[in-house]
Amino acid sequence: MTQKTISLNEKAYKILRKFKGNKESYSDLIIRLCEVQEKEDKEDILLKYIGLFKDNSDYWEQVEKEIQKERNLHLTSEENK
Amino acid sequence: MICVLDTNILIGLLRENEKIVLKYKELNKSKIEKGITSYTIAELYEGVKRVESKKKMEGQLKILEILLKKFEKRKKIFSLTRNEAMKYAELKIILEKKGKPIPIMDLLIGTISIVNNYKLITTDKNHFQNLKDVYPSFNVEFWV
Repeated sequence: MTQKTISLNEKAYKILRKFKGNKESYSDLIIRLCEVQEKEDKEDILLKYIGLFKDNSDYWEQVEKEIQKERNLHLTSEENK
Repeated sequence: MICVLDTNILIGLLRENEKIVLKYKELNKSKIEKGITSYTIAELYEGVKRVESKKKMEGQLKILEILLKKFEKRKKIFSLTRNEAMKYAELKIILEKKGKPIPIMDLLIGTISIVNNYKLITTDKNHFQNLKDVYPSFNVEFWV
């Protein structure tokens, strides 16, 4: 396989070294980290947050009402309030 | 296609509002990207400050912060830039002339969707329908 040479600064090298497995090459490490990141980027942001505020639903309902009240107080046209 | 989730949709999902969750899961099948506006963040934090017992909610506010950071990381928090600001002014005057006032926050959120061809998802049919009436190509879906 063709090899490409890249250079890293000291800080990046130290970070990568921390994650590198014993028998893992730096190429394999970079591929593994990128795959993890790619997977995370594809995941839906909200799915795992659904229902997290369910136990305090009354509180958040109140927050929602306050938001709606504020929206209704600041309309685009004063004379039509 | 990018969908902008209004504040009420975001809270509905976090509270597990059954209808909203069902619709969201349906929407998710098409792998549409989702975002929010900075105005939703402002509304959420203002709402929290206005409702008492904020202290009890500190844990949940931290969760909210993590969620918002995720949107930020993916560059899915939208705000007004020059184009949107100009459109906002134009739409505000049209709404006034037609006698169809809507909340300023709704117009800010709606304008971002209009200028960028995003679809807005909201439960607030009353006001956003006014915006659609004066700007028919406004892509809005009501989850009511």
